[in-house]
Amino acid sequence: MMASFVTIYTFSERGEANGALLPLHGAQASYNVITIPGGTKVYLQVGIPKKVRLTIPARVTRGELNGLRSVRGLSDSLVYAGGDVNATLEEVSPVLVKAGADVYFVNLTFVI
Amino acid sequence: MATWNGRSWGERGSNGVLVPHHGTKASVSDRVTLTAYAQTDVAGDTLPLLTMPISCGTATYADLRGDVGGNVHSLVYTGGTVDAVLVGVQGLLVKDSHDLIFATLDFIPITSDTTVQTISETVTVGGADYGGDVLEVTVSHGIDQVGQATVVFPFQPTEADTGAIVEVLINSNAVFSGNAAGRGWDYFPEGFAVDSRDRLDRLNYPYGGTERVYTSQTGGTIHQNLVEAMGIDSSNTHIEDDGNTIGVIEPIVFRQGDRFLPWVRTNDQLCGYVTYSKARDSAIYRTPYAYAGSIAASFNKGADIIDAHRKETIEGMYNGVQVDGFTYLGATVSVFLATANAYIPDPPGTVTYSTQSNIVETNTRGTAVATILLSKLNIRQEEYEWTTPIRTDLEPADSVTISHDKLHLSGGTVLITKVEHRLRDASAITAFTGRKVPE
Repeated sequence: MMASFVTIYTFSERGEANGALLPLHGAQASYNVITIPGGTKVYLQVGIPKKVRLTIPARVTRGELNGLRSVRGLSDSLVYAGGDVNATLEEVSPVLVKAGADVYFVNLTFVI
Repeated sequence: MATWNGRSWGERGSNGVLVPHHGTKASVSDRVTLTAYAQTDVAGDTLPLLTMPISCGTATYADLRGDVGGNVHSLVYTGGTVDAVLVGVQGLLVKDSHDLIFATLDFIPITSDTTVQTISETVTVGGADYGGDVLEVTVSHGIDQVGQATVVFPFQPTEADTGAIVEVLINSNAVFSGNAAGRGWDYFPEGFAVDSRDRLDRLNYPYGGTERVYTSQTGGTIHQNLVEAMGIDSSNTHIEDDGNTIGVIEPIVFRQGDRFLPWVRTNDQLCGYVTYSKARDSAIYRTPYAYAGSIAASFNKGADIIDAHRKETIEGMYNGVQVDGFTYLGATVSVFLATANAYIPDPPGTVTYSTQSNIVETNTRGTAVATILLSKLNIRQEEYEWTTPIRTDLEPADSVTISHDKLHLSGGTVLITKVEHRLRDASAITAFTGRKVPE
């Protein structure tokens, strides 16, 4: 399946062979442990779930790379193996280029 | 197969592969290694994180992702059965696998000694709810201050102008209602702080109306009238009357530009009362400076005290009081009371606190004032500071007891003088200050 951000900016999630692992966005809640001195009591304080980061290794063409770079910082729809979520593109990592081909390997970091 | 909250999954690792097991670790004071005196008190379990690699389907993964938060459920896994809170989920989809996800779950196993608090705050500015976009909240109320709140946002709410109504709830309990009085901008990282004050602050503004003259009225009546003169509805006041009739010989007069709060504080001191606002309703209260009739809470070492400080000093201790009052027809109200105090060396023998106020119009009243002040001042001044996991049920002027052998307190009664709630991320504590008052 071709993944996309802002509908029109497409990329391929890396992992072409069967058994490859594709990252999914998770969930995290911040927490705070308060140990009470002089006894055995302890307080676990748990906050509401916060936004999480998701880094997707991707394979793109030069045109797709330029498109994704142009929307860094934008919040919009991300469609990928994990579903359709609203996300902010935080980072387009430094790129590895496959010599002699229009193939670029890049990590895309989203805040979801 | 492991289970939690009705979800089930496979623990990754079999045929000799090691799977994690929840641990335990005590918290020990750093001073154990800093001094020759071994501090034997340790704290409770630090609740080490249990990170569990698992495999599951996409439906279970989505359920687990939605479960992250403060709910406690029984976790049944290779390591046994333990109550646990799920605080993190991260997954990898196995491509072309027909619904297989490798994930890691972050659990915090708890014990029977653990109290789980789900921390949430609701902050409204000008009626708009910004509960999910708050970086820090500090709220304080006390008998020597007006109610204050500082809320730090990652951006500037559009409604956050001076005068905007700011309301704060912690875990659905109201802890502040007031108006924005100051703003601050930070960059970089970006932040925006709103400082707010509650309705008691109105008494700090210069009075702008016509002259107010009070003749032969009780202090409580005048207090009530001054509060309402600043636009505070009587439904938001609980002002107890001290019963002293004042302004008999010389009327008490307030003119444009006068501030009511300093006069209120002065009259409170002469009567042995305190005026303050409460967090739960932001109403204005006036009560005797004394222990309340009932104990609102008991704090105990090892149960709910994170840290504590008790300070006892002869600073601020006086065994003599000189009260000077109104001068009338060449005569001045003047009363001096003194009593022995074993903690004051001789000489001087007597250390005198002096005060002057035209509110005191007779020697009889002067004697009553001197008696009140002497009972308050002729004791070693004791102050207490302690912090606890968040508690929104206590207010200034509440009486509590503290039992703490290291502070040499066994059920000692303390009058709360200040309550401050501090929230940052999931950390939520309440800092109290208190005093010993005359019994």
